[in-house]
Amino acid sequence: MSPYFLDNTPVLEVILENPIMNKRFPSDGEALAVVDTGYEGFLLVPESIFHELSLEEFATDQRQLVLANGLSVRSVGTFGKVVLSSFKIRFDGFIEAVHGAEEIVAGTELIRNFTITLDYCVRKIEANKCK
Amino acid sequence: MGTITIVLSDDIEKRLREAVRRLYGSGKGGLSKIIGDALESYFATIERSATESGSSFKALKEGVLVAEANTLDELASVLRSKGVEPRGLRIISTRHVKPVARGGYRARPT
Repeated sequence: MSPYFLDNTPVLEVILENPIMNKRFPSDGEALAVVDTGYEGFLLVPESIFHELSLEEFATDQRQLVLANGLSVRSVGTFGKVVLSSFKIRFDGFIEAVHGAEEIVAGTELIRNFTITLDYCVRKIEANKCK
Repeated sequence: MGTITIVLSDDIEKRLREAVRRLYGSGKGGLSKIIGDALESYFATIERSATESGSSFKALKEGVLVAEANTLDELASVLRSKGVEPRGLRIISTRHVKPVARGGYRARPT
């Protein structure tokens, strides 16, 4: 399914993979990722999903994420794969986890691969891969 | 210096002329300057995009390179063929990850 609005929030259906350890999230079907243009990264996930993908078994990197209120949080991340089955495409990128995060967030490093039109008047999202 | 004739929609032309007026006033050369700047910016964007799409991944074990590939799928395949234990591997990429980045509105600490 293409991106759509969920309570006025744009979401994408994604499958996350760690191809090196042959792990996938979710184990069946797809998960929802919130599209957030304020997040400069590729993909932010809850710690439980990072763990489920066995990404913490790699030597991870840390960085700082500056929040909207000016505070910083430490994230832990490594490289993984995102599959967008509605577009039949996949992207490799830096997947990071933050303590306390409760949802998957797709940031500008991922969505910069698309032209996205948010039409709140008719509650429709149009997304096309960059040519 | 080259001279190019291009065709634009009425809307784009109107916005372009408004931008020229706003940025450079009514003097000569504003139109060429703004088109030149816009194209420079566009070329930088697509060149960056092309460079990053050609990024590669490396797997390091205790600081030693054990595999290298253009995608994670390929890297996984190389590691399997070499029988490398994946636990503890450090995966790095030619794609730069900023040490400090904006976390957006959804990331919030508990």
